[in-house]
Amino acid sequence: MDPSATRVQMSNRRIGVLGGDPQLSVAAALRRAGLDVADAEPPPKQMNDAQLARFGFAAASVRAGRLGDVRHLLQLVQEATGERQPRHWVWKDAAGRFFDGLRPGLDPASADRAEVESCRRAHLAALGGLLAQLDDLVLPLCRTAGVFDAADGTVYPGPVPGARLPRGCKLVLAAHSLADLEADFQALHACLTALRPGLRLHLVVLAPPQPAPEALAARITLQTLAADWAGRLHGVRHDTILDALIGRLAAPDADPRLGPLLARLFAAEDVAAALVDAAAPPRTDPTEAPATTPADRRARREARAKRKKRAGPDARVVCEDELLEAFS
Amino acid sequence: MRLCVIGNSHLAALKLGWDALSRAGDPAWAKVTPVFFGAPRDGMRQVRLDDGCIVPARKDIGEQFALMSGGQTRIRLGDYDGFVLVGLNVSIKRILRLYRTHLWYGLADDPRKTLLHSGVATDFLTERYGSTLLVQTAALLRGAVSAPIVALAEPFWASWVRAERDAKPDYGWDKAISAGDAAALAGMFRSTVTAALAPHASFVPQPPQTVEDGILTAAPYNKDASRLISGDGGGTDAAHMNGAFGAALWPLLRQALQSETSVAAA
Repeated sequence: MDPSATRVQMSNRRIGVLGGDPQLSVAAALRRAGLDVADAEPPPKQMNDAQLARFGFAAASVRAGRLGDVRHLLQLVQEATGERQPRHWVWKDAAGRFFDGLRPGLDPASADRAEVESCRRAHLAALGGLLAQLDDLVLPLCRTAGVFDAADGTVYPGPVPGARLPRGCKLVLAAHSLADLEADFQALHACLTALRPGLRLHLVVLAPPQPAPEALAARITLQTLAADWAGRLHGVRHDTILDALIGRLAAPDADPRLGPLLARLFAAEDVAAALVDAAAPPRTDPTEAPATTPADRRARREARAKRKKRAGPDARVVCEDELLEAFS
Repeated sequence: MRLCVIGNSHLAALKLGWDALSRAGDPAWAKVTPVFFGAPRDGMRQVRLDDGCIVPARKDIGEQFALMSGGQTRIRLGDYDGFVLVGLNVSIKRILRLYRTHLWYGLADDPRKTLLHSGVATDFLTERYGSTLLVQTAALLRGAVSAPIVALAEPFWASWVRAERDAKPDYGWDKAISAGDAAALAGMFRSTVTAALAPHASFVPQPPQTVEDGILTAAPYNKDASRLISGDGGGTDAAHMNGAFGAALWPLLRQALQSETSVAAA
């Protein structure tokens, strides 16, 4: 297999990642690998890194928080398609201000409940638009248990210290059974492929940040299930090599050589075969811009001059002389 | 009251306005003595604080200081009872650039733009305005003096740019006004610049009588600015204002300085 060919193939495909936060961002790892991961809720240009992290920008293709739980993913996709409406998702902080309990911490609390509702509607619309356009959707998985509202079964990322829950909302922590995981993934797969026929789902099982025995057990469970789903369900892909590489690349001190390797493997139909190919010296990437010639440079200069002429006389933003004029 | 007025090209309108007030001989202004120090563009970045003085790091900046102040090549901070900062790269254009791609709650819906929580937009813009020369200069002064410091942003562009947007750099004034968002954008500008300056100085917004459509300056305050300030007479300077604009600023500045002084005294 020609690795450069796989690069070209991926460059024509629209890739999305559902779930991620600054501590664990598969989207960031894939971007570091050179893949063009879609962002349906992009940050303002020039937003600094601290703000990006605080408000959950760029950690995935939408600002939904870490997710990582199949049922939570299913619930979010169903919400975006209008198939599900959680009942008690607007919570209050200790000061009585409203916030989105389904993605706490991403937006500041608001005195106006309508603002929180408006932001969630926009978030779901962005997700719906994204899902309808993707060719590849990466689903990072890391949880086999969740916090639920006993009233309607809605999954929440977790309790929020000091939060006042709506009347009727009672949070309980529960582990998913294997049957639940299986049913939820089947439903998620059906929902996503109905929305976007031909969509490829890439399951990435993340290593737990804390090597607690329960987390390790969850990881093994998810890897086993993901391998099974990939074997049975059309368009579902999973490989433990990619799990490991993405996990390593998500680390702040990742080896930069991992990026190009990951990009090749991610695009490959057969990861193990591509791994062998990747050991060969890389060929010139045909997606790279060709070397410029004097004729190219001249053409660009002429195009720039033409554009400038078309723009007409700019409004003067003179700053050099006006001070001297005023003070003379 | 000796006032130190520091700024970039927008200082010119304030100077022309002061000249007009002086000529009118209003006794209310008799005890005020402004001394102007300016440098075009971001020239005020090329200064350092040295032994109670703001000292230019470049010869040409020192020469401009001398020309405007009547011979002083450095600003001796202890000589002044108050400070006025003018322009220094703070303008509503920053918000209009954000408005091209993003909205926040309360603005007219546009599915092509990304909706931000208003708190996110406020935090982002406050941080961006905090990185401007205006706020950095205010911080530099506040580290050295306890006297009142008040600050003016660059004026909104002249109202005629809205009609001639095809021939001018279009920052989106017309789109914002047509969508009914101008007042909200102006409100965001005022609150975020005020917040960015808050640790060091007070913000004095543009006089209401000079504002048109919320985010533009009424034509009379730009009339002849090209001739009087830019010197080209072509009527193409939408960014700078004339002496009438400067004259409208002075009462607000005095009020803000008095307010700052009374707060400090209390």
